[in-house]
Amino acid sequence: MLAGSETGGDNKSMSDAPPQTPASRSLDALYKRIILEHNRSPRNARLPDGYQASARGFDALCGDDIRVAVCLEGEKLQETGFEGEACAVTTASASLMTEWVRGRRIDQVLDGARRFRRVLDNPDQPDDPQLGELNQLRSVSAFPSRVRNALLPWKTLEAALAGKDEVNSVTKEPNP
Amino acid sequence: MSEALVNPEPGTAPTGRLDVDRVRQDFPVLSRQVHGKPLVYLDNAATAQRPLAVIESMDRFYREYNANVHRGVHQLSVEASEAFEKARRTMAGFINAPSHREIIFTRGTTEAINLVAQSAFRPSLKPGDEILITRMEHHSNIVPWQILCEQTGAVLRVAPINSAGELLVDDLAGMITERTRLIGIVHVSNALGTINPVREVCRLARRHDIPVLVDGAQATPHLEVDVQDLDCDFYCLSAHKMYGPTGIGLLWARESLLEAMPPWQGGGEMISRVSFSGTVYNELPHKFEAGTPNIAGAIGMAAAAEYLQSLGLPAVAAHEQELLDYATGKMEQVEGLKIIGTAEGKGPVIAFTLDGIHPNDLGTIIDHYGVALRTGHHCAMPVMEFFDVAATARISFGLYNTRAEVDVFLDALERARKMLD
Repeated sequence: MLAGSETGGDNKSMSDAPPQTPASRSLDALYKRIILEHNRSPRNARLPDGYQASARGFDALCGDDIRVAVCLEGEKLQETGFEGEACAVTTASASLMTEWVRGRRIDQVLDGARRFRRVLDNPDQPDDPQLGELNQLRSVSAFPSRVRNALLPWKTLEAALAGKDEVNSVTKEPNP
Repeated sequence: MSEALVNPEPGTAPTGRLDVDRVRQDFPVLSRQVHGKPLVYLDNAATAQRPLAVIESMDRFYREYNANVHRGVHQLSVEASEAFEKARRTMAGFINAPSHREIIFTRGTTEAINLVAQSAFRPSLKPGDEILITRMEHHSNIVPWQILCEQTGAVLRVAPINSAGELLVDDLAGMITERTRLIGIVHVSNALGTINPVREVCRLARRHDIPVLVDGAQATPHLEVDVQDLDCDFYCLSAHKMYGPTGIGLLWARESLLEAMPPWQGGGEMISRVSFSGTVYNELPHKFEAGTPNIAGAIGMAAAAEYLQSLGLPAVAAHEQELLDYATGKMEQVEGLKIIGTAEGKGPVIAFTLDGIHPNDLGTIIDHYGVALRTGHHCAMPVMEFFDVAATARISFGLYNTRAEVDVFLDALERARKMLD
Protein backbone atom coordinates (compact mmCIF):
# COMPACT_ATOMS: atom_id res chain seq x y z
CA MET A 1 0.00 0.00 0.00
CA LEU A 2 2.02 2.96 1.14
CA ALA A 3 5.25 1.39 -0.05
CA GLY A 4 3.89 1.11 -3.58
CA SER A 5 5.24 4.39 -4.83
CA GLU A 6 8.67 3.68 -3.37
CA THR A 7 9.23 0.21 -4.67
CA GLY A 8 7.53 0.51 -8.01
CA GLY A 9 4.85 -2.14 -8.23
CA ASP A 10 4.02 -1.56 -11.88
CA ASN A 11 5.49 -0.08 -15.01
CA LYS A 12 4.13 3.36 -14.39
CA SER A 13 5.57 3.71 -10.96
CA MET A 14 9.01 2.78 -12.30
CA SER A 15 9.13 6.23 -13.83
CA ASP A 16 7.88 7.71 -10.58
CA ALA A 17 10.68 6.11 -8.61
CA PRO A 18 13.47 8.43 -7.55
CA PRO A 19 16.63 8.32 -9.67
CA GLN A 20 18.78 5.34 -8.70
CA THR A 21 21.92 6.80 -7.25
CA PRO A 22 23.56 5.93 -3.95
CA ALA A 23 22.20 9.15 -2.46
CA SER A 24 18.65 8.50 -3.55
CA ARG A 25 18.82 4.99 -2.20
CA SER A 26 19.42 6.57 1.14
CA LEU A 27 16.47 8.87 0.43
CA ASP A 28 14.41 5.72 0.15
CA ALA A 29 16.06 4.55 3.33
CA LEU A 30 15.16 7.77 5.10
CA TYR A 31 11.52 7.66 4.11
CA LYS A 32 11.24 3.96 4.62
CA ARG A 33 8.08 2.16 5.54
CA ILE A 34 8.40 2.50 9.29
CA ILE A 35 9.00 6.26 9.21
CA LEU A 36 6.21 6.87 6.73
CA GLU A 37 3.91 4.70 8.76
CA HIS A 38 4.69 6.38 12.08
CA ASN A 39 4.34 9.77 10.36
CA ARG A 40 0.95 8.86 8.98
CA SER A 41 -0.32 7.21 12.18
CA PRO A 42 1.82 8.48 15.02
CA ARG A 43 1.48 6.61 18.32
CA ASN A 44 0.71 8.52 21.50
CA ALA A 45 0.02 11.67 19.53
CA ARG A 46 -1.78 13.40 22.35
CA LEU A 47 -0.79 14.65 25.76
CA PRO A 48 -1.70 12.06 28.41
CA ASP A 49 -4.30 13.07 30.99
CA GLY A 50 -2.87 14.32 34.24
CA TYR A 51 0.72 14.48 33.05
CA GLN A 52 3.27 15.72 35.59
CA ALA A 53 6.00 16.97 33.30
CA SER A 54 6.03 18.54 29.86
CA ALA A 55 8.21 20.68 27.63
CA ARG A 56 8.00 22.35 24.27
CA GLY A 57 10.55 21.51 21.62
CA PHE A 58 10.83 24.21 19.05
CA ASP A 59 13.11 24.30 16.06
CA ALA A 60 12.73 27.75 14.64
CA LEU A 61 14.85 26.95 11.63
CA CYS A 62 12.76 24.01 10.44
CA GLY A 63 9.45 25.07 11.91
CA ASP A 64 9.11 21.91 14.01
CA ASP A 65 7.13 22.70 17.13
CA ILE A 66 6.13 19.89 19.48
CA ARG A 67 5.16 19.37 23.10
CA VAL A 68 6.07 16.21 24.96
CA ALA A 69 4.29 15.32 28.20
CA VAL A 70 4.91 12.52 30.68
CA CYS A 71 2.86 10.71 33.31
CA LEU A 72 5.23 9.36 35.94
CA GLU A 73 4.69 6.65 38.47
CA GLY A 74 7.55 7.07 40.87
CA GLU A 75 10.65 6.80 38.70
CA LYS A 76 8.81 5.12 35.85
CA LEU A 77 7.44 6.77 32.70
CA GLN A 78 3.99 5.33 32.71
CA GLU A 79 2.73 7.18 29.67
CA THR A 80 4.36 9.65 27.31
CA GLY A 81 2.61 11.57 24.58
CA PHE A 82 3.30 14.41 22.15
CA GLU A 83 1.49 16.88 19.98
CA GLY A 84 2.39 19.62 17.57
CA GLU A 85 3.40 20.27 14.00
CA ALA A 86 6.50 18.65 12.69
CA CYS A 87 8.14 16.97 9.72
CA ALA A 88 7.96 13.25 9.06
CA VAL A 89 11.31 12.53 10.73
CA THR A 90 10.45 14.40 13.93
CA THR A 91 6.97 12.91 14.04
CA ALA A 92 8.18 9.35 13.50
CA SER A 93 10.97 9.81 16.02
CA ALA A 94 8.53 11.15 18.61
CA SER A 95 6.14 8.31 17.92
CA LEU A 96 8.83 5.63 18.25
CA MET A 97 10.25 7.34 21.33
CA THR A 98 6.95 7.41 23.20
CA GLU A 99 6.62 3.68 22.62
CA TRP A 100 10.17 2.89 23.63
CA VAL A 101 10.11 4.83 26.90
CA ARG A 102 6.85 3.34 28.15
CA GLY A 103 7.40 1.63 31.49
CA ARG A 104 11.09 2.50 31.64
CA ARG A 105 12.72 4.31 34.55
CA ILE A 106 13.99 7.88 34.15
CA ASP A 107 17.63 6.77 34.32
CA GLN A 108 16.97 4.16 31.63
CA VAL A 109 15.30 6.77 29.45
CA LEU A 110 18.19 9.19 29.84
CA ASP A 111 20.58 6.37 29.01
CA GLY A 112 18.42 5.60 25.96
CA ALA A 113 18.71 9.22 24.83
CA ARG A 114 22.51 8.98 25.12
CA ARG A 115 22.57 5.71 23.20
CA PHE A 116 20.30 7.15 20.52
CA ARG A 117 22.60 10.14 20.03
CA ARG A 118 25.59 7.82 19.88
CA VAL A 119 24.18 5.64 17.10
CA LEU A 120 23.13 8.71 15.11
CA ASP A 121 26.64 10.13 15.47
CA ASN A 122 28.35 6.87 14.51
CA PRO A 123 26.77 5.45 11.37
CA ASP A 124 29.53 2.85 11.07
CA GLN A 125 28.79 1.22 14.42
CA PRO A 126 26.38 -1.72 14.60
CA ASP A 127 22.85 -1.22 15.88
CA ASP A 128 22.46 -0.83 19.62
CA PRO A 129 20.30 -3.79 20.71
CA GLN A 130 19.06 -1.79 23.69
CA LEU A 131 17.35 0.62 21.32
CA GLY A 132 15.29 -1.93 19.47
CA GLU A 133 13.14 -0.32 16.80
CA LEU A 134 14.74 3.08 17.38
CA ASN A 135 17.66 1.79 15.32
CA GLN A 136 15.38 2.18 12.31
CA LEU A 137 15.91 5.93 12.57
CA ARG A 138 19.63 5.61 12.00
CA SER A 139 19.09 6.24 8.31
CA VAL A 140 18.87 9.96 9.10
CA SER A 141 22.63 9.93 9.70
CA ALA A 142 23.05 10.12 5.94
CA PHE A 143 21.18 13.45 6.06
CA PRO A 144 23.17 15.69 8.40
CA SER A 145 20.59 18.48 8.16
CA ARG A 146 17.88 16.13 9.42
CA VAL A 147 19.59 14.61 12.45
CA ARG A 148 18.29 17.54 14.50
CA ASN A 149 14.75 16.42 13.63
CA ALA A 150 15.25 12.91 14.96
CA LEU A 151 16.76 14.32 18.15
CA LEU A 152 14.15 16.99 18.87
CA PRO A 153 11.65 14.68 20.64
CA TRP A 154 14.42 13.29 22.84
CA LYS A 155 15.76 16.71 23.74
CA THR A 156 12.24 17.78 24.55
CA LEU A 157 11.65 14.72 26.73
CA GLU A 158 14.94 15.32 28.51
CA ALA A 159 13.92 18.92 29.13
CA ALA A 160 10.56 17.83 30.52
CA LEU A 161 12.22 15.34 32.86
CA ALA A 162 14.69 18.03 33.95
CA GLY A 163 11.83 20.38 34.76
CA LYS A 164 12.55 22.77 31.88
CA ASP A 165 9.67 24.31 29.99
CA GLU A 166 11.24 24.72 26.62
CA VAL A 167 14.07 23.44 24.55
CA ASN A 168 15.17 25.26 21.49
CA SER A 169 17.07 23.09 19.13
CA VAL A 170 18.39 25.93 17.05
CA THR A 171 22.05 26.42 17.60
CA LYS A 172 22.91 28.31 14.49
CA GLU A 173 20.96 30.03 11.83
CA PRO A 174 22.12 30.37 8.25
CA ASN A 175 21.31 33.49 6.35
CA PRO A 176 18.30 33.41 4.12
CA MET B 1 24.57 45.72 -40.00
CA SER B 2 27.53 45.17 -37.76
CA GLU B 3 27.53 42.41 -35.22
CA ALA B 4 27.75 44.97 -32.42
CA LEU B 5 24.43 46.47 -33.49
CA VAL B 6 22.72 43.12 -33.82
CA ASN B 7 23.91 41.98 -30.44
CA PRO B 8 25.03 45.02 -28.53
CA GLU B 9 25.64 43.42 -25.12
CA PRO B 10 27.13 40.07 -24.22
CA GLY B 11 24.41 37.66 -23.22
CA THR B 12 21.54 39.63 -24.68
CA ALA B 13 19.75 38.48 -27.78
CA PRO B 14 19.13 40.91 -30.66
CA THR B 15 15.63 41.60 -29.40
CA GLY B 16 16.94 42.77 -26.02
CA ARG B 17 15.70 39.56 -24.47
CA LEU B 18 18.03 37.67 -22.22
CA ASP B 19 19.82 34.86 -24.02
CA VAL B 20 19.53 32.41 -21.14
CA ASP B 21 21.35 29.52 -22.77
CA ARG B 22 24.32 31.75 -23.31
CA VAL B 23 24.10 33.35 -19.87
CA ARG B 24 24.08 29.93 -18.19
CA GLN B 25 27.53 29.28 -19.62
CA ASP B 26 28.82 32.15 -17.50
CA PHE B 27 28.05 30.19 -14.32
CA PRO B 28 30.36 27.20 -13.88
CA VAL B 29 28.35 25.67 -11.03
CA LEU B 30 25.27 25.26 -13.22
CA SER B 31 26.94 22.45 -15.12
CA ARG B 32 27.28 20.22 -12.07
CA GLN B 33 25.04 17.39 -11.04
CA VAL B 34 23.39 16.84 -7.69
CA HIS B 35 22.44 13.29 -6.72
CA GLY B 36 22.99 12.31 -10.33
CA LYS B 37 20.63 14.97 -11.67
CA PRO B 38 21.40 18.34 -13.25
CA LEU B 39 21.39 21.05 -10.61
CA VAL B 40 18.23 23.16 -10.60
CA TYR B 41 19.17 26.06 -8.39
CA LEU B 42 16.05 27.79 -7.08
CA ASP B 43 17.49 29.26 -3.90
CA ASN B 44 18.67 32.53 -5.34
CA ALA B 45 17.07 34.65 -2.64
CA ALA B 46 19.36 32.94 -0.14
CA THR B 47 22.40 33.51 -2.27
CA ALA B 48 22.89 33.64 -6.02
CA GLN B 49 25.59 31.81 -7.97
CA ARG B 50 28.69 33.59 -9.25
CA PRO B 51 29.53 34.19 -12.89
CA LEU B 52 33.05 33.78 -14.26
CA ALA B 53 33.37 37.55 -14.47
CA VAL B 54 33.17 37.74 -10.67
CA ILE B 55 35.29 34.68 -9.95
CA GLU B 56 37.99 35.78 -12.38
CA SER B 57 38.10 39.37 -11.16
CA MET B 58 38.87 38.16 -7.64
CA ASP B 59 41.25 35.51 -8.87
CA ARG B 60 43.13 38.17 -10.85
CA PHE B 61 43.45 40.37 -7.77
CA TYR B 62 44.97 37.56 -5.73
CA ARG B 63 47.22 36.34 -8.53
CA GLU B 64 48.42 39.62 -9.98
CA TYR B 65 48.17 42.61 -7.66
CA ASN B 66 47.30 41.49 -4.14
CA ALA B 67 48.34 44.24 -1.71
CA ASN B 68 46.83 46.36 1.01
CA VAL B 69 45.07 49.52 -0.07
CA HIS B 70 45.80 53.18 0.70
CA ARG B 71 49.01 52.29 2.49
CA GLY B 72 51.99 51.53 0.34
CA VAL B 73 53.74 53.51 -2.36
CA HIS B 74 54.73 50.32 -4.12
CA GLN B 75 53.21 49.35 -7.44
CA LEU B 76 50.99 46.52 -6.19
CA SER B 77 49.45 48.72 -3.52
CA VAL B 78 48.81 51.43 -6.08
CA GLU B 79 47.06 48.96 -8.38
CA ALA B 80 45.02 47.44 -5.52
CA SER B 81 44.00 50.89 -4.27
CA GLU B 82 42.96 51.93 -7.76
CA ALA B 83 40.88 48.78 -8.27
CA PHE B 84 39.29 49.15 -4.84
CA GLU B 85 38.31 52.78 -5.42
CA LYS B 86 37.19 52.01 -8.95
CA ALA B 87 34.88 49.40 -7.41
CA ARG B 88 33.43 52.11 -5.19
CA ARG B 89 32.71 54.33 -8.20
CA THR B 90 31.18 51.38 -10.07
CA MET B 91 28.85 50.71 -7.15
CA ALA B 92 27.96 54.40 -6.91
CA GLY B 93 26.98 54.27 -10.56
CA PHE B 94 25.08 51.02 -10.07
CA ILE B 95 22.61 52.66 -7.66
CA ASN B 96 23.03 56.15 -9.15
CA ALA B 97 24.51 57.63 -5.99
CA PRO B 98 25.47 61.30 -6.44
CA SER B 99 28.98 60.67 -5.13
CA HIS B 100 31.27 57.71 -4.59
CA ARG B 101 32.14 59.30 -1.22
CA GLU B 102 28.70 58.16 -0.11
CA ILE B 103 29.47 54.47 -0.68
CA ILE B 104 30.58 52.74 2.53
CA PHE B 105 31.75 49.17 2.08
CA THR B 106 30.34 46.83 4.72
CA ARG B 107 30.16 43.08 5.23
CA GLY B 108 26.67 43.19 3.80
CA THR B 109 23.20 44.57 4.34
CA THR B 110 23.09 43.46 7.96
CA GLU B 111 26.25 45.31 8.89
CA ALA B 112 25.10 48.38 6.96
CA ILE B 113 21.86 48.53 8.96
CA ASN B 114 23.71 48.03 12.23
CA LEU B 115 26.09 50.82 11.25
CA VAL B 116 23.18 53.19 10.69
CA ALA B 117 21.50 52.17 13.94
CA GLN B 118 24.60 52.59 16.05
CA SER B 119 26.22 55.57 14.38
CA ALA B 120 23.37 57.66 13.02
CA PHE B 121 20.77 57.06 15.73
CA ARG B 122 22.20 55.76 18.98
CA PRO B 123 23.85 59.03 20.00
CA SER B 124 20.72 61.13 19.51
CA LEU B 125 17.76 58.86 20.22
CA LYS B 126 15.73 59.68 23.33
CA PRO B 127 13.37 57.49 25.32
CA GLY B 128 9.99 57.52 23.61
CA ASP B 129 11.41 58.25 20.15
CA GLU B 130 10.05 55.87 17.54
CA ILE B 131 11.52 53.71 14.79
CA LEU B 132 8.88 52.64 12.30
CA ILE B 133 9.37 49.48 10.26
CA THR B 134 7.05 47.06 8.46
CA ARG B 135 5.71 43.64 9.35
CA MET B 136 7.53 42.04 6.42
CA GLU B 137 11.07 43.00 7.40
CA HIS B 138 13.89 40.49 7.40
CA HIS B 139 15.39 39.90 10.85
CA SER B 140 18.30 42.09 9.77
CA ASN B 141 15.98 45.10 9.62
CA ILE B 142 14.28 44.24 12.92
CA VAL B 143 16.90 43.13 15.43
CA PRO B 144 19.33 46.08 15.01
CA TRP B 145 16.43 48.38 15.88
CA GLN B 146 15.37 46.23 18.83
CA ILE B 147 18.91 46.46 20.16
CA LEU B 148 18.91 50.21 19.57
CA CYS B 149 15.59 50.54 21.39
CA GLU B 150 16.98 48.62 24.37
CA GLN B 151 19.98 50.92 24.40
CA THR B 152 18.07 54.18 24.15
CA GLY B 153 14.54 53.60 25.42
CA ALA B 154 13.17 54.26 21.95
CA VAL B 155 10.12 52.32 20.75
CA LEU B 156 9.91 50.04 17.71
CA ARG B 157 6.63 50.34 15.84
CA VAL B 158 5.51 47.97 13.11
CA ALA B 159 3.30 48.90 10.15
CA PRO B 160 0.87 46.14 9.14
CA ILE B 161 0.51 44.13 5.93
CA ASN B 162 -2.56 42.56 4.32
CA SER B 163 -3.21 38.91 3.56
CA ALA B 164 -1.61 39.27 0.14
CA GLY B 165 1.58 40.36 1.86
CA GLU B 166 1.28 43.99 0.78
CA LEU B 167 2.25 46.90 2.99
CA LEU B 168 -0.72 48.96 4.16
CA VAL B 169 0.74 52.34 3.29
CA ASP B 170 -2.15 54.33 4.74
CA ASP B 171 -1.72 52.54 8.04
CA LEU B 172 1.97 53.27 7.95
CA ALA B 173 1.18 56.92 7.28
CA GLY B 174 -1.19 56.91 10.24
CA MET B 175 1.56 55.57 12.49
CA ILE B 176 3.90 58.48 11.81
CA THR B 177 4.09 60.73 14.84
CA GLU B 178 6.23 63.67 15.82
CA ARG B 179 8.45 61.16 17.64
CA THR B 180 9.14 59.07 14.50
CA ARG B 181 12.89 59.28 13.86
CA LEU B 182 13.29 56.78 11.03
CA ILE B 183 11.28 54.60 8.69
CA GLY B 184 12.94 51.30 7.80
CA ILE B 185 11.52 49.37 4.86
CA VAL B 186 12.52 46.37 2.81
CA HIS B 187 12.55 47.08 -0.93
CA VAL B 188 11.72 43.50 -1.97
CA SER B 189 10.64 40.97 0.67
CA ASN B 190 12.73 37.80 0.74
CA ALA B 191 9.92 35.81 2.37
CA LEU B 192 6.98 37.00 0.25
CA GLY B 193 8.46 38.56 -2.87
CA THR B 194 6.51 41.76 -2.34
CA ILE B 195 7.98 44.83 -4.02
CA ASN B 196 7.25 47.71 -1.68
CA PRO B 197 6.24 51.18 -2.88
CA VAL B 198 9.48 52.66 -1.58
CA ARG B 199 9.23 55.89 -3.56
CA GLU B 200 5.76 56.54 -2.15
CA VAL B 201 6.92 55.85 1.41
CA CYS B 202 9.90 58.17 0.92
CA ARG B 203 7.61 60.92 -0.38
CA LEU B 204 5.40 60.48 2.65
CA ALA B 205 8.38 60.53 5.01
CA ARG B 206 9.85 63.60 3.32
CA ARG B 207 6.73 65.59 4.22
CA HIS B 208 7.45 64.89 7.87
CA ASP B 209 11.21 65.28 7.46
CA ILE B 210 11.81 61.65 8.52
CA PRO B 211 14.72 59.77 7.00
CA VAL B 212 14.07 56.42 5.28
CA LEU B 213 16.37 53.40 5.33
CA VAL B 214 15.82 50.86 2.55
CA ASP B 215 16.94 47.23 2.84
CA GLY B 216 17.79 46.57 -0.78
CA ALA B 217 19.31 43.10 -0.42
CA GLN B 218 16.64 41.40 -2.54
CA ALA B 219 16.10 44.32 -4.91
CA THR B 220 19.44 44.89 -6.59
CA PRO B 221 19.57 41.47 -8.34
CA HIS B 222 16.25 42.18 -10.03
CA LEU B 223 15.52 45.90 -10.26
CA GLU B 224 17.32 48.96 -11.50
CA VAL B 225 17.85 50.88 -8.30
CA ASP B 226 18.21 54.66 -8.39
CA VAL B 227 18.61 56.06 -4.90
CA GLN B 228 18.05 59.62 -6.11
CA ASP B 229 14.84 58.67 -7.84
CA LEU B 230 13.65 56.75 -4.76
CA ASP B 231 14.62 59.79 -2.69
CA CYS B 232 15.59 57.61 0.27
CA ASP B 233 18.28 58.47 2.80
CA PHE B 234 20.01 55.13 3.45
CA TYR B 235 20.20 52.20 1.03
CA CYS B 236 21.81 48.88 1.97
CA LEU B 237 22.73 45.93 -0.22
CA SER B 238 24.64 42.64 -0.21
CA ALA B 239 26.83 41.54 -3.09
CA HIS B 240 26.11 37.82 -2.76
CA LYS B 241 22.42 38.27 -3.55
CA MET B 242 23.39 39.90 -6.86
CA TYR B 243 25.91 37.34 -8.12
CA GLY B 244 28.85 38.84 -6.23
CA PRO B 245 30.92 37.39 -3.40
CA THR B 246 29.80 36.84 0.19
CA GLY B 247 31.08 39.05 2.98
CA ILE B 248 30.74 42.34 1.13
CA GLY B 249 27.98 44.85 0.65
CA LEU B 250 27.49 48.52 1.09
CA LEU B 251 25.71 51.34 2.76
CA TRP B 252 24.77 54.34 0.71
CA ALA B 253 23.72 57.43 2.60
CA ARG B 254 23.45 61.10 1.80
CA GLU B 255 26.77 62.81 2.30
CA SER B 256 25.30 65.31 4.77
CA LEU B 257 24.07 62.43 6.95
CA LEU B 258 27.37 60.58 6.76
CA GLU B 259 29.32 63.74 7.63
CA ALA B 260 27.21 64.19 10.75
CA MET B 261 27.55 60.54 11.85
CA PRO B 262 30.37 59.62 14.24
CA PRO B 263 32.60 56.66 13.36
CA TRP B 264 31.18 53.28 14.33
CA GLN B 265 34.30 51.17 14.63
CA GLY B 266 37.79 52.46 15.37
CA GLY B 267 41.07 51.29 13.94
CA GLY B 268 43.36 51.78 11.01
CA GLU B 269 42.16 53.25 7.74
CA MET B 270 39.44 55.35 9.41
CA ILE B 271 41.86 57.88 10.89
CA SER B 272 43.94 60.66 9.42
CA ARG B 273 46.09 61.27 12.53
CA VAL B 274 46.33 59.42 15.85
CA SER B 275 47.88 60.71 19.04
CA PHE B 276 47.09 60.16 22.69
CA SER B 277 45.96 63.73 23.00
CA GLY B 278 43.33 63.15 20.34
CA THR B 279 42.65 61.42 17.05
CA VAL B 280 41.47 62.98 13.84
CA TYR B 281 39.16 60.82 11.80
CA ASN B 282 39.59 60.25 8.13
CA GLU B 283 37.26 61.78 5.60
CA LEU B 284 34.41 60.01 3.89
CA PRO B 285 34.04 57.23 3.08
CA HIS B 286 37.09 55.94 4.97
CA LYS B 287 35.77 57.25 8.31
CA PHE B 288 33.46 54.21 8.36
CA GLU B 289 35.89 51.62 7.06
CA ALA B 290 38.11 50.66 9.98
CA GLY B 291 40.76 48.04 9.33
CA THR B 292 41.92 46.43 6.13
CA PRO B 293 38.81 46.14 3.99
CA ASN B 294 37.54 43.20 1.97
CA ILE B 295 39.47 44.27 -1.11
CA ALA B 296 38.83 41.21 -3.25
CA GLY B 297 35.18 41.35 -2.19
CA ALA B 298 34.79 44.94 -3.33
CA ILE B 299 36.39 44.09 -6.66
CA GLY B 300 34.11 41.06 -7.03
CA MET B 301 31.02 43.07 -6.10
CA ALA B 302 31.83 45.67 -8.74
CA ALA B 303 32.37 42.89 -11.29
CA ALA B 304 28.91 41.54 -10.42
CA ALA B 305 27.35 44.98 -10.86
CA GLU B 306 29.07 45.39 -14.22
CA TYR B 307 27.92 41.92 -15.23
CA LEU B 308 24.30 42.78 -14.43
CA GLN B 309 24.62 46.08 -16.27
CA SER B 310 26.07 44.31 -19.30
CA LEU B 311 23.02 42.04 -19.47
CA GLY B 312 20.69 44.92 -18.75
CA LEU B 313 18.53 44.75 -15.65
CA PRO B 314 15.31 45.34 -17.62
CA ALA B 315 16.05 42.22 -19.69
CA VAL B 316 16.89 40.29 -16.51
CA ALA B 317 13.71 41.47 -14.81
CA ALA B 318 11.55 40.63 -17.84
CA HIS B 319 12.94 37.10 -17.96
CA GLU B 320 12.47 36.55 -14.24
CA GLN B 321 8.94 37.93 -14.26
CA GLU B 322 8.08 35.55 -17.07
CA LEU B 323 9.35 32.65 -14.95
CA LEU B 324 7.45 33.97 -11.95
CA ASP B 325 4.20 34.15 -13.93
CA TYR B 326 4.72 30.72 -15.44
CA ALA B 327 5.54 29.04 -12.13
CA THR B 328 2.77 30.86 -10.25
CA GLY B 329 0.19 29.78 -12.82
CA LYS B 330 1.31 26.16 -12.64
CA MET B 331 1.55 26.10 -8.85
CA GLU B 332 -1.93 27.54 -8.44
CA GLN B 333 -3.20 24.38 -10.10
CA VAL B 334 -1.43 22.06 -7.66
CA GLU B 335 -3.97 20.67 -5.24
CA GLY B 336 -3.30 21.58 -1.63
CA LEU B 337 -0.60 24.08 -2.55
CA LYS B 338 -0.95 27.51 -1.05
CA ILE B 339 1.20 30.41 -2.17
CA ILE B 340 2.18 32.70 0.70
CA GLY B 341 2.61 36.19 -0.67
CA THR B 342 0.42 37.21 -3.57
CA ALA B 343 1.20 40.91 -3.83
CA GLU B 344 0.40 42.80 -7.01
CA GLY B 345 4.07 43.54 -7.64
CA LYS B 346 6.47 40.76 -6.80
CA GLY B 347 10.10 39.87 -7.19
CA PRO B 348 10.80 36.35 -8.49
CA VAL B 349 10.06 34.61 -5.19
CA ILE B 350 7.31 32.06 -4.48
CA ALA B 351 6.85 30.88 -0.91
CA PHE B 352 4.33 28.11 -0.40
CA THR B 353 2.98 25.36 1.76
CA LEU B 354 1.72 21.99 0.60
CA ASP B 355 -0.99 20.18 2.55
CA GLY B 356 0.23 17.10 4.35
CA ILE B 357 3.92 17.67 3.62
CA HIS B 358 6.16 19.52 5.99
CA PRO B 359 8.57 21.87 4.16
CA ASN B 360 11.49 20.00 5.72
CA ASP B 361 10.51 16.75 4.08
CA LEU B 362 9.74 18.50 0.84
CA GLY B 363 13.18 20.13 0.81
CA THR B 364 14.97 16.84 1.43
CA ILE B 365 13.05 14.88 -1.19
CA ILE B 366 13.22 17.58 -3.84
CA ASP B 367 16.96 17.92 -3.29
CA HIS B 368 17.30 14.37 -4.51
CA TYR B 369 15.93 15.42 -7.86
CA GLY B 370 18.66 18.05 -8.04
CA VAL B 371 16.38 20.92 -7.04
CA ALA B 372 17.70 23.36 -4.44
CA LEU B 373 15.06 25.34 -2.61
CA ARG B 374 14.79 26.95 0.79
CA THR B 375 12.62 25.78 3.63
CA GLY B 376 12.03 27.31 7.04
CA HIS B 377 11.24 30.77 8.30
CA HIS B 378 13.46 32.70 5.86
CA CYS B 379 14.74 34.94 8.64
CA ALA B 380 11.36 36.61 8.75
CA MET B 381 9.59 34.95 11.67
CA PRO B 382 7.05 37.79 12.15
CA VAL B 383 5.90 37.13 8.58
CA MET B 384 5.47 33.42 9.31
CA GLU B 385 3.50 34.32 12.43
CA PHE B 386 1.26 36.66 10.44
CA PHE B 387 0.38 33.93 7.97
CA ASP B 388 0.13 31.41 10.81
CA VAL B 389 2.66 29.02 9.34
CA ALA B 390 5.69 27.66 11.16
CA ALA B 391 7.66 27.36 7.96
CA THR B 392 7.26 27.58 4.22
CA ALA B 393 9.11 26.23 1.23
CA ARG B 394 10.39 28.87 -1.15
CA ILE B 395 11.62 28.90 -4.71
CA SER B 396 13.38 32.00 -5.96
CA PHE B 397 14.62 32.64 -9.47
CA GLY B 398 17.79 34.11 -10.81
CA LEU B 399 18.62 35.30 -14.29
CA TYR B 400 19.84 31.83 -15.37
CA ASN B 401 16.72 29.84 -14.48
CA THR B 402 14.51 28.39 -17.18
CA ARG B 403 10.95 27.18 -17.72
CA ALA B 404 12.32 23.67 -18.08
CA GLU B 405 13.73 23.97 -14.58
CA VAL B 406 10.34 25.06 -13.27
CA ASP B 407 8.93 21.90 -14.83
CA VAL B 408 11.59 19.77 -13.11
CA PHE B 409 10.62 21.40 -9.82
CA LEU B 410 6.90 20.79 -10.39
CA ASP B 411 7.59 17.18 -11.27
CA ALA B 412 9.72 16.71 -8.14
CA LEU B 413 6.91 18.27 -6.11
CA GLU B 414 4.49 15.62 -7.34
CA ARG B 415 7.00 12.88 -6.62
CA ALA B 416 7.50 14.16 -3.09
CA ARG B 417 3.78 14.12 -2.55
CA LYS B 418 3.51 10.56 -3.85
CA MET B 419 6.32 9.49 -1.59
CA LEU B 420 4.79 10.89 1.56
CA ASP B 421 1.13 10.26 0.80
